Amino acid sequence: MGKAIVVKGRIADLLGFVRLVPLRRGKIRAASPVSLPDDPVNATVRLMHPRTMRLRVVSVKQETESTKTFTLAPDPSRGTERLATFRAGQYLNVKVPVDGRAVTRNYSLSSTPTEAAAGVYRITIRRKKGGYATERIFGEWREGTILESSGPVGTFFYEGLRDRRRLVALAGGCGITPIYSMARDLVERNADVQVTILYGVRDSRDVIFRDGLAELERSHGDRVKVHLIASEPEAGWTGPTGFITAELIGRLAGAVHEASFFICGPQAMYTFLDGELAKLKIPRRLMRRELFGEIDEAAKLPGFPAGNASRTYVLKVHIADETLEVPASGGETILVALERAGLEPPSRCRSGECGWCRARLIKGDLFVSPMHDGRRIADRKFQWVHPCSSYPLSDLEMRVNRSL
Amino acid sequence: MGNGKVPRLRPEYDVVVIGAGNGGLTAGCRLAAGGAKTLILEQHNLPGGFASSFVRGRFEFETALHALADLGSPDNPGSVRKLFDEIGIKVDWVFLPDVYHLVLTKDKVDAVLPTGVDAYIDACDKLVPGCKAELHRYFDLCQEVMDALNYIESHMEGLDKAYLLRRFPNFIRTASYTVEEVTEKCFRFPEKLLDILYAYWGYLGVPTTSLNFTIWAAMLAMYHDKKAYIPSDRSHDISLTLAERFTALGGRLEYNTRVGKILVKGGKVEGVETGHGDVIRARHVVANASPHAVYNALVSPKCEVPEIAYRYCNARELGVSLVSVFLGMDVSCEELGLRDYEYFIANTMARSERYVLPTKPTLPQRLIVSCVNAVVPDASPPGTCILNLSVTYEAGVWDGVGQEEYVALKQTLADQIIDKAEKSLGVSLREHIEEIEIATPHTLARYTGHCRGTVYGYKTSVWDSLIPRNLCIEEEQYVKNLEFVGGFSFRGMGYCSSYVSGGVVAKGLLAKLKAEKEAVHG
Repeated sequence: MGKAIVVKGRIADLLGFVRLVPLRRGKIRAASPVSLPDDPVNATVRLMHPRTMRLRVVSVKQETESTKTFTLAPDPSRGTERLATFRAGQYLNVKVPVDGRAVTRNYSLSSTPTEAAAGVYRITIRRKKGGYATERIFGEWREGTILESSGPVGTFFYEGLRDRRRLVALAGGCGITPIYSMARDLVERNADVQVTILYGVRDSRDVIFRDGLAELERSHGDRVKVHLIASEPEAGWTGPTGFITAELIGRLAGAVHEASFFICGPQAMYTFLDGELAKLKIPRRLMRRELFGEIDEAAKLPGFPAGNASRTYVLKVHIADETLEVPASGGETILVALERAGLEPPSRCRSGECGWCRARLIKGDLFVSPMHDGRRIADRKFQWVHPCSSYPLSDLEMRVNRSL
Repeated sequence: MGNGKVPRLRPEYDVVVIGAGNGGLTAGCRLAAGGAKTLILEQHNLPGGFASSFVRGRFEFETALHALADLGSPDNPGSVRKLFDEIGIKVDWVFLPDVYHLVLTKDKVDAVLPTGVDAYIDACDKLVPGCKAELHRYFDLCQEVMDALNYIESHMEGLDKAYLLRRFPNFIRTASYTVEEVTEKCFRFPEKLLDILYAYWGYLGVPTTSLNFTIWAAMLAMYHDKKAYIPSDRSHDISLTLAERFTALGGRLEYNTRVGKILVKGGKVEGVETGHGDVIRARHVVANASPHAVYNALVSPKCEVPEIAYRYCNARELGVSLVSVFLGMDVSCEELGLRDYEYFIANTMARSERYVLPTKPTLPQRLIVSCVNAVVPDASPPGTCILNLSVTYEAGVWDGVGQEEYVALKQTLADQIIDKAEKSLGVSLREHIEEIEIATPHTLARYTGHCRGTVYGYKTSVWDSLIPRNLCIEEEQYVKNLEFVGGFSFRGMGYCSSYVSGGVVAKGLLAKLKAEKEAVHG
């Protein structure tokens, strides 16, 4: 016990203690009796990060033979008054009903934040022959179709505090969508950034946003350069051909060591570019890639066990307090197996990154693509996995969350 | 199940816990260990609330924790270690040798303040010679306050008030005052020493002009007696360890499930209803949520909320909020020249400017920079490190920021924060930023729903500090069988208080459940 402390006086200090409770009661009684259920910060957050957006297709534009742009507006009759703002490069996780089941797909916004403020989003989708979702989208979506999506999400966007003032965008096929949005946004915001786009296409008929890209270059040629590279050029093609090689990047983009690289395209393009960018010795810090949804072909992932893709396993699922068994193909992610069973599991990035689909493995073996393993350290320790980048290697038992 | 039909939860539990934050998880573990049928409902897809982590590229960032001051060592365990040992929680902890590295640019102070009373006093004495004896007297007082609180906590029932007054007179005498009232009326500290001492303020978010002395003294005593620790694998490791333990003890934890309503009838809890439409009966509900959220938005029907409950919420002041810049760097902390875990940076701690916080979302004069790799070298891959740059704001300062201006504003601010860190610490950061995230009050609100995006519960000013909260706990239970745990509850803000609050409430509930069962069978 220390020596006696006297703060304001021997009696005053003791009275102060005794009066703590009456003081508190007085403060509470004197306060307002009005219920304040909301606050401005949470209200703004609901606008910026809506859990679900209810949208309506207001127009459809055929971009190329296999590509359409859908213009979307909020649907106030179903509760979405305004569109959330976004960072150019982000995507929507869109719910697509297929045979009475809901699967989700990610589509980068090809429009700009300015357009969102004015009330429209655009997503540009390429039809995949036999594609689980795109066949429905191309068959069924027309003006007036109603949709549900997440708010804009994703981390593939230009960030001035991190990225260089020179931006080299390497796009393949439909991977041009976020790049197009980014380039237009930088111009609209009058940002001090030079953009060089190297856009790999099959031939001239395969070019999405042909007019828009040309217009960007025409009116902002000091800041935006677009190079089309055809892999299967038709006769009369005058531009560069083949793949996007290190040599081509160096030739078309100039001072590559002063640039940040943004890469978006199919899986094969990433594999190829890994080697090319290594030749240019671009530090990891200056390369960003959009994993861009679904992994195309599991069997081609490095380390994927041969023959597994043709096997089928039994997946025992606990969801809330119900349990059921569903088939799971060795060549498809667990997320796809859950969706095929009509379980509407949570999903966002569909490429292992974001962890939204996080689920607990109870029994069995999985293959997790190392390139798509965005798990937290403790999650690995406790067998939490991301079903969107995990493949069954045996019969499995898991606990899966319901969708929020 | 399937084809759009929502799978359901079992409809009856002894206790439903709303929120798998620190308090909800420890409450759940102790309840489950005590045999209570317990369900935790968590709105997010992972446990922890603020106690979490997130991954960008090759970095896993800590979301909230600076240091745990009430863990202690196995030989000298604090309340949290005792609780964790009891419920079977094992985590890899890393010891923090120092409280902070203080950098006051205008006052020309640059000093590392270690933990441990003697070491801390020695370091202070080097900076302000001649203050040793007075500091010892000060820390003795802090220890007496801490001992008194420990005595109260371990004698909740049958507290001997006469003994308390006899044994811990200075605890009683200082309880109704602010930090400054006690420190400056009863001790002769030179102004410069006060500047150093009050830098602790950064941890509690309430200026020493209004912060109650009791909680301050307890924190100081704890830091120096129990020292400070962090988990080696970020807060998510603690939270997930607790969540997994809860499940192993027979508890049910359901993620992605928001509680929409707390069902109340005749002033007594009957259960909850979830956003998925599950209706779950429960004898007791434990809210790891703020009274603000519970009374204003959850209790249903609304007529079950007495008017005094709204007054109770509105009387209280919300603690501070934060802006944090998370940086994944492609350079090691050694190469950057950052040797210490935590830097408290301010232009000045001079009295007139000490607590000036901006009234608009502009750059404050105080900044905390932490580098986890200084104490956990492998927290990120070799040749990289993780930095966190944080500043505080009073609740409400970000209220007027709308979505149109939001991104540009947070970027401008982050730019200034990075600039200030570079200049104050003499380091060059910009050329090495591989990943960056900027969290604001809006981000904090997004992930937790906390009122105005605040992080520190209610301010522990004199009338709303530990003692009055605890003395009034029964009269302030406005709905029967509804208890609160976590940062907004009776023990105040911070990880340790939240963990302990869950343990204390669970202990009480287990006794109540036992009595209820005996009443039924008796």
